[in-house]
Formats: sequence, structure tokens, C-alpha cells
Amino acid sequence: MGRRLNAVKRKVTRIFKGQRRRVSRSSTPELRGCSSCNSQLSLPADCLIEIFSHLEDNPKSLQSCVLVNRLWSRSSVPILWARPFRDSTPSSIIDVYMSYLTDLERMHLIDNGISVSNRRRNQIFDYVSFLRHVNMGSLYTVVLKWTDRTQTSLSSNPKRYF
Amino acid sequence: VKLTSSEGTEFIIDRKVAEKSVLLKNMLEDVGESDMAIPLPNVTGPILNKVIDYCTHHRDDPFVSQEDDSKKVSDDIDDWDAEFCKVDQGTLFELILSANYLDIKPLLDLTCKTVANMIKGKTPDEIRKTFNITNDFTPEEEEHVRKENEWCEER
Repeated sequence: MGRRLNAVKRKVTRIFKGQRRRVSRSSTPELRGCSSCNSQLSLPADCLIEIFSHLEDNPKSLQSCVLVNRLWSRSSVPILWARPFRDSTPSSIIDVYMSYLTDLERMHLIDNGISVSNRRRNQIFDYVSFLRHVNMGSLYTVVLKWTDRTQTSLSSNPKRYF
Repeated sequence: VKLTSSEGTEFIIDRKVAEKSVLLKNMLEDVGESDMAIPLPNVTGPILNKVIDYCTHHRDDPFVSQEDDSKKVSDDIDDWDAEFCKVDQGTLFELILSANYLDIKPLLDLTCKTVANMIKGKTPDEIRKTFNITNDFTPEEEEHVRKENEWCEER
């Protein structure tokens, strides 16, 4: 687990290394300010985070922010993933969380008749670490949707019924 | 209280107005009564003027503590504030930077809410166009990020 986490961290650092340099360079002129040179004006990450915090009830808009550019992505992903479970959340989110399971945990689920994909993916961000609030009711609803979608073959699984 | 903007323009305002800024409030408490102008090298004259307008209008508002904003809604902007935010994007962004620097939480909230409202309902491409942002993702990264975050798309 630790090694994989480090790999993810390295990946994130590598991806955003270039970005950080660019931000620090542009921050001086923008503070001095010139209303006419709009195109040069960009907000630093702390201001972006402040803006995105007003969108925390609007996952759809946050998702757009995630895809704008690297700086926006880095600033909006933690807010999007802080409180990810709502009743309306598509069940595919469970697949992202499932991809964090270790082989042992995966085996355990499979032994208990829950089919999970064998694929382990390395994510760009460490999404799990951003989780702050879980609404148990919504989590239950989302997991139910996930089992409905992925565990349909279960009814023919003898392990469970005999 | 005397303030100097980045170009050296001097502004004289009431202490009560200045204290809307946590930065200035702390400074004034540390320094005490003084005739010295406080230099604000990060804020231009026109922006400082706007900020003072805001602080003067809201001078009698109760101080909102950080903990109170657990529920952030972006559509409760009153008429005066909405009118205040009808400025070009450059000015709006500079207001955000100044509110952040001067630590004026209600002004930061207001300006950030305004930008948040501009983001709402837009596609990534529309956001880039609106704010003149270059997409620095490689196509591969973009696809990766899209895949990992597509769960929030309503289906």
C-alpha cells in the first residue's frame, strides 16, 4: 500500500511540477494589477480553492473545473472528493474506490461472492485521501446501485444460495 | 487611518472601516494610534477605492466568524453587492486577490461567489473561454482525469 501511495504521489508531483513554476512566475504582475491585461491575469490556488468551496453542492460544475487545466484540477479535486456520496451519485464512483483495494482485500471480497474487477489502476490523484464527510444513507444508496449494476450474476452463484 | 496604494496614492478612512480587514485590524492593534500611512504595495488605487467602498457600505455588519460559513450558498447576494460585482473580470480577480491579502472574509466570499456563479453550468471548454485559460493537460492526462471523475456526471 505504502509503495503504491508513493508511486501515486510521485506521479502527481511530476505532473504538476511544471505548473507550480508557472504560477509563481505570474503571481507578481497580477498582484501589481492591470485591469487591461485580462489575459495575463490568473488566480493563485488558494483563491481558486476559495471559489470552488462555493460549488461544493454542485458536483457537476466542480467536475467541469477538474477538467479545465492542471492548476484548476489540483484545486478542485479535493473539494469534489471531500463529500462524494449523495443519493444521486452514480455508482461508478464505487469502482474508483474499489481500485484502491489491496490484492488481499480483493480476494476477501471475491471469496465472499462479491465480484470485483481484478484490475488495479494507478490514479492521478489520491482520491481516497480527500474524503471528509460520509452520509451513510447516501453511501448505502450508492452501494446498492453498484451491487444492482455489477452483481447481477450473483443470483446464479451457487455459493450464496446453496 | 491612512493607507497608501501601490502607486503611492493616499487614502484616509475611518478606523471602523479599516477594521473590516483583519490584516489592518491586527496591524492597528499592534501599532496603536499613529499618523503613519500603512503601505499596501499589493493593492492598486482603483482597487483599494472599490474595497473601501465595500467596507464603508458594510461597516455596521456584524463580524462573521470563520465557523459560521459551514453552509455556503452562492445565490444569496443582495442588490448592492450584486451591483458592486458588476465589474470587468480583471477588476473582479484583483478584488479577490486584495480581499484575500487584506483578509476581508465577507468581500472574499462575495467575489468568489460571483466567480462561482460564472462557472456554474459551464463545460470545461466554456470555462476556459470565459476566463481565458489555456488547457495544459496532455490529451492522455485529460482522458485519465476525465475517467476518474466521470462518476459525478448525471446519468
